[in-house]
Amino acid sequence: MHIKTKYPQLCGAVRPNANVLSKRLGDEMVLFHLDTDHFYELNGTAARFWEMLHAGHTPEEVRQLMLEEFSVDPGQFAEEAEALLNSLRQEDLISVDE
Amino acid sequence: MIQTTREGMVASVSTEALALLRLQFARQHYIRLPELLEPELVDFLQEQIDRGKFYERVHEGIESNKELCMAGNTAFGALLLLMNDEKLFELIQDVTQCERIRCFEGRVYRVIPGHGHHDSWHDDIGENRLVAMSINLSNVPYAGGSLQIRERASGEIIEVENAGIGDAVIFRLSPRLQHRITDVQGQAPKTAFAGWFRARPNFSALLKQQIEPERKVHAGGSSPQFLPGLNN
Repeated sequence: MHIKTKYPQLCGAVRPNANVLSKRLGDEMVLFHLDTDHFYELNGTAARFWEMLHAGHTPEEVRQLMLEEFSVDPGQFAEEAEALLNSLRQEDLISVDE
Repeated sequence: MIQTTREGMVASVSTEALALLRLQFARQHYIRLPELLEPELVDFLQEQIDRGKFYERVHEGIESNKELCMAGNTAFGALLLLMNDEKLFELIQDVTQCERIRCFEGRVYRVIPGHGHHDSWHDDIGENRLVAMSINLSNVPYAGGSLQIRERASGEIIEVENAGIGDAVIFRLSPRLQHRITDVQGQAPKTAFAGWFRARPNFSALLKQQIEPERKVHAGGSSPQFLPGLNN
């Protein structure tokens, strides 16, 4: 199976929604969606993941940076990053051009 | 300068400016942060506030008072998120010499002249409140509605000149002091986002108390070990 088929969002162009405010407080990232009035929390490594996306890095760049920054199995990272991106997209916090 | 934009807080305060703010707060019990909210952000918030639903509210523990309080909406959520900022917390701690701030809790209130909205002397002490802040979000300048701070022992009153739109007034909470907002006069109402920097809880816990019960949205079918899921 091609990596692009298995992890379409990780290989896509991801853009954080401009109508989402984010704030880092300690290890947490709190997001507020201006269109839905919903708050979200991302903790620890997921907060770092969002921070890198928000800084304009592509998912591939985030993958490389996080594999350098953290001791994590690349396969596990890919699975979990894809799932997190899926959650973020479902909540309209990001858009993904696959 | 310290200013909040949609992207976050921009803080660039010189050592000299910081020393002056410390001195002002020590002497007069308040400081002003002009344009704490950038004008573009104020415009956005005012639009949302104008669509907001207000209900009459009487604060318990204050002799006689009545105001309109805005129900939770986009403006409230955005203000709550933007004011819970570590750079702002550090600045307030430095200027006021208060203990560590962990959250800011506030509400959007409106006072309309001729509607019986008024305030009485009170101190807001309790619930781990450290310092108070009020940000002017009125659409136009209003008359009256100014903050007064009173020395409890001497009765001496400090009059705080009304803030410009988007400006913040930070003022001391102490058992030795009381404060109130004078009646608003004329035609224009006063609208402000006001509340307290608190030592506890932290922002995450405050959100859970105030907004809605936690609902966890897991990132995948199995619990992720490295990247925790999204909490809503």
